[in-house]
Amino acid sequence: MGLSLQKGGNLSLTKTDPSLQRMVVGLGWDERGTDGADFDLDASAFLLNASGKVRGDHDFIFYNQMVSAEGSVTHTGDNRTGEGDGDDEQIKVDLTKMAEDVDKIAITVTIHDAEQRNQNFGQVVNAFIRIVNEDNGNEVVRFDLTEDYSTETAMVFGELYRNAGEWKFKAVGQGYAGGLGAMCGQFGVNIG
Amino acid sequence: MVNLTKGGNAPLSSNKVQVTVAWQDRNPNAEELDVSCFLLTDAKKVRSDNDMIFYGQRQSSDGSVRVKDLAISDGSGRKTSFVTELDKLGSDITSVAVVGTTAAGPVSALERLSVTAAPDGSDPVVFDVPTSDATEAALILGELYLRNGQWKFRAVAQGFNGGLAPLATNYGVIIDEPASPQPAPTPPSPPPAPAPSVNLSKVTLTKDKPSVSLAKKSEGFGQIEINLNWTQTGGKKKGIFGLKGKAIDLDLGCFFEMSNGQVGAVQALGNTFGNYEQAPFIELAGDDRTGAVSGGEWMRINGSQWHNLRRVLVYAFIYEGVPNWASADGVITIYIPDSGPVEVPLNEASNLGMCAIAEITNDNGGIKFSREVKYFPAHPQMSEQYRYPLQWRAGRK
Repeated sequence: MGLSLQKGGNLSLTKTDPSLQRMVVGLGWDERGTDGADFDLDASAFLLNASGKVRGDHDFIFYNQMVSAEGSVTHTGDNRTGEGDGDDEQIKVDLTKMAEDVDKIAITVTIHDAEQRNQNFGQVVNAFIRIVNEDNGNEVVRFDLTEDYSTETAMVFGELYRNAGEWKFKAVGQGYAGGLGAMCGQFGVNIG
Repeated sequence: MVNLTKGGNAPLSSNKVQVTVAWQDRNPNAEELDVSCFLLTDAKKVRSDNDMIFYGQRQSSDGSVRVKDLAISDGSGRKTSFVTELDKLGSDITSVAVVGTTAAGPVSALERLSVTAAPDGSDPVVFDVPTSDATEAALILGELYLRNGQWKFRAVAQGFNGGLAPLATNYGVIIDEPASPQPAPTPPSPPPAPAPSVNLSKVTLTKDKPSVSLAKKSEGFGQIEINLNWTQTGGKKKGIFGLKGKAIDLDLGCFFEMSNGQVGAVQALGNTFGNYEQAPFIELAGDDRTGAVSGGEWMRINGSQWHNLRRVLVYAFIYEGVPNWASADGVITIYIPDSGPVEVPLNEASNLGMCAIAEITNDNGGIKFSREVKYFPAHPQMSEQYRYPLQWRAGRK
């Protein structure tokens, strides 16, 4: 089991798991058993420069743009219901392929149409987001969304960032009003 | 007080938690709410039908979840509450779902709906359930659940438009086919009973003579006493010799329906002993589990209030021991002042744990005793068969 970080907690990935170069951000939840609109959770990644903005819209990796320009970040595809065991959506991050001017990668999780559907993470069964070392399968960090972020509808899960020559992970766990669109605005992505 | 919104959760500081569901109908003639608790394993399934606690099965087999109040008046609305002792639950039970079901139509027919989890000695956790756009007819209001060794409460408000059946199926409860719209078939009408108000010699209701009637009396019927007695294995009468070995313990109880439509049960299990002076005007004498009370178990009906009762279904169930009705040789005797006793022997074999023995019906102010002697696995099947739940809902309209 990985560490469960508190909000704002920092984790030196290089020190915690020196082998960590390729990682999988896994988002999982259970399919809805009750009547009503499906719970559609989405994992996304923003590749950010030193000023906290994307270099271009291609730095926003999500269900409609699944690979970054350098191939450093790959989205495995959209799961709209949570059907299936384990991770239902994955974003693969290869730190060795990261461009020099990418200083930070923000990982976000949002509920699609949360406002219209009047949904939050607490209504979803067994929703979690985690980081796993792809090379050895170890879970590095995990957030239980259902339990600990129950009233949120969108959040910045965490940030991978460069610090003194190593990659660190900062657990942000910050709820976000307005969903994915608002996040795009903050990170400088133009959405049509 | 901790207020939760939908999806939210809060820790419970005690393992003894009273769960109360309170509601108010938008239209006073509208639908009622039935509240149930489901004891669930990690897989979110019941272990057996015994894990559904509701009006027809008022406590879990280990006593950890019990109905305390059932749809009692609560200011402008009603409330149903449960006592839960979470540390007494089997270790395989990791959550208890609290469910509200409307008799017909969606939950949006309710003006107000809330669920409160009150841990012993500390702040209650309250969830005001939004009902205005709820399309569900069965709603999981909240759940008590175990997480990292700590019991917590979650505000759920999700459910099933199709009502209790899909919800119960979701939890792995086996639902019988709906009862037929007609009451349970009773044997063909017997010849008229001997003239009332004369002392009837002892009447034994049998298959061939399944019912007897007493005409209305202006002064009422006085105290009607119902006795359950049975023979212990080896032919020893209970009450003379203690409970030993393969002894079985029978409990006496009844379902009742008041003339105002109120429905309920009087039995030792769940401590619903009833009340002789007030509704339901039926009271169970102390439970004869120790054998201290000689002559089996007794229940009294206040015959001067007979006009307040529509019908009473007298039953016995095997509290302890292997169901073997034939060797128990049980008999129900009903004593009515100024009339001879009416006796119903339980002389048919069955390996089911419950026996509906006799139905006592208000027949235009008179009393009709009908032999039933039909066996059921447990309370739910019996209440379903005799349509007490349906009458219960309809009766509140």
